[in-house]
Amino acid sequence: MLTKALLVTLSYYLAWMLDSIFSNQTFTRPIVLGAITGLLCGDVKTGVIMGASLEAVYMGISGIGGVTAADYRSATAIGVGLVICSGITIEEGIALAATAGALLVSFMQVTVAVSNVMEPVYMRLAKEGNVKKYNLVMWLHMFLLQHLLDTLVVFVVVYLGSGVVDKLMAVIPSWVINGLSVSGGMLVVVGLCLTAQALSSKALPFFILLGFVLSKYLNLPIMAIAMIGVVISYVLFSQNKKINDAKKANATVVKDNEEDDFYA
Amino acid sequence: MPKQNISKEDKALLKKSFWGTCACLRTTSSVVGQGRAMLLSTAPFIEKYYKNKEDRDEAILREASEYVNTNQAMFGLLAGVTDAMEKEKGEHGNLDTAVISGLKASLMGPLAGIGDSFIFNCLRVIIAGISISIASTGNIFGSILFAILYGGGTLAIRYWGLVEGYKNGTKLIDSAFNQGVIPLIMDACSTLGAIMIGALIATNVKVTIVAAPVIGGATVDIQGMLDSIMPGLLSLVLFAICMKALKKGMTPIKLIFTIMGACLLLSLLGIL
Repeated sequence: MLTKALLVTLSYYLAWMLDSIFSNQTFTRPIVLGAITGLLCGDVKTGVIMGASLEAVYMGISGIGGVTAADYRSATAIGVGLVICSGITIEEGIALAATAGALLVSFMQVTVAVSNVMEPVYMRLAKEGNVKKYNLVMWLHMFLLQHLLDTLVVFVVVYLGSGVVDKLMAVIPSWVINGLSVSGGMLVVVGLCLTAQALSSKALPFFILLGFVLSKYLNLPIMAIAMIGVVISYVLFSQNKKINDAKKANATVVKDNEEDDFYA
Repeated sequence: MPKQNISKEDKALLKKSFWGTCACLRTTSSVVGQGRAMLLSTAPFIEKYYKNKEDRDEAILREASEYVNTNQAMFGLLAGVTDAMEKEKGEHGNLDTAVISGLKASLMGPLAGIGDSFIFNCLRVIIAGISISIASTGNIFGSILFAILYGGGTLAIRYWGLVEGYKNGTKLIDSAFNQGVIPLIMDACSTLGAIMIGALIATNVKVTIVAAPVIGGATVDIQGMLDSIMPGLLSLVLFAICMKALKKGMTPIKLIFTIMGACLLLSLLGIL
């Protein structure tokens, strides 16, 4: 159990470090982190399946504007870790992960606070004009300090949690477990809603309906739907551009006329 | 500032600068945002082109202490433009620091908007949609595909932005905004994103009623009846309800717990 918990923690830390090196928000996304955790813990299939489900759940949750609604990273590591360590089902794992993500989001503030505390150090180095040392401090900060606390939290939750979860599962009535499983299949909708909210088209509901119909009734694979979507949005774009250009042309004509009048 | 051809020396500097942009989410802070990464990105040019040590130290401190916050993929374009300005100031000294700071501050907002709507909410949703459909069967290729397409793609966009931003200075961004095509592209991206969301609702949101009450001796298969009206009807209804709740100001966290609570209750009642 200890080794498994340590491996889960290691995968969480590893994903964070990879993400910190490239800053491209990829390796801590649930779909990748889930696979990494599964790979290290020896159950790739479970990790990938859970990663895919959690990616859909957290699709809309992002750092846009610095507001983060849930910590999808620790949620993924903890959820996958608990499923592999304590043998609960994947749906139960997703429900647990969602809970953990909502509760642990406050720890992300600590990470930011750690970085803020370091600010005077960085400022002093910048004042000295020592970019080399500045860079070095940043690497050390990233490897040793930045994610120390949240990594520790992931370890404690998975290590203690897997034992606790095992005992709880024996006591908890079946309707609770069923309810959690069912909610695992529904939570996806939150992420999709948040993504939809970020989009800006007046005809949004109709296009959502179109995508739904293409998938549910016609059973088209997602790649085919994406290609149909590209065609539709290109046609719309070129139509709108024509209208826009025409409007612009009109506007300039009017402007020219006014100027002519003025000088006449 | 427009530079059409990049010299060999500058190409090497741009490569170093690219590694600097890779720090843009490494350790951010509330004080300077991504300012630390902006220092690392501009430092190669500052150290090369500022002749006087005093000026150089002044520029380093200035870049390190100015607040920057933009989309990670668009950070390259911002760094490229800033590199070009720092070089200009270092070489000829005819550029006011207010121009550098002002331009950076005025560009990062629009660039964040473009990056978040094109890359984060459109490109990523499409890539994630395809990857999820592969990975949901347990195929690790789905995860790898996401890492290559999204992870590699955003790095490529960042590098492209860095080079183009350096070459064209601010011309590039000005022209895109002046033509007025940005809102149109955003609209097209939203359309595509919406279609993908619809498909993801169909494949990923699972709502199934298991209750089958016996009325007058006959079992009523509620889910079967709903399916005959429209398969997946309840998924769409759930989506609509959640959209409404979010619009009314419900936080996502509250929504998650509400769904879980409702599921527990309905499970207790034997409906789900």
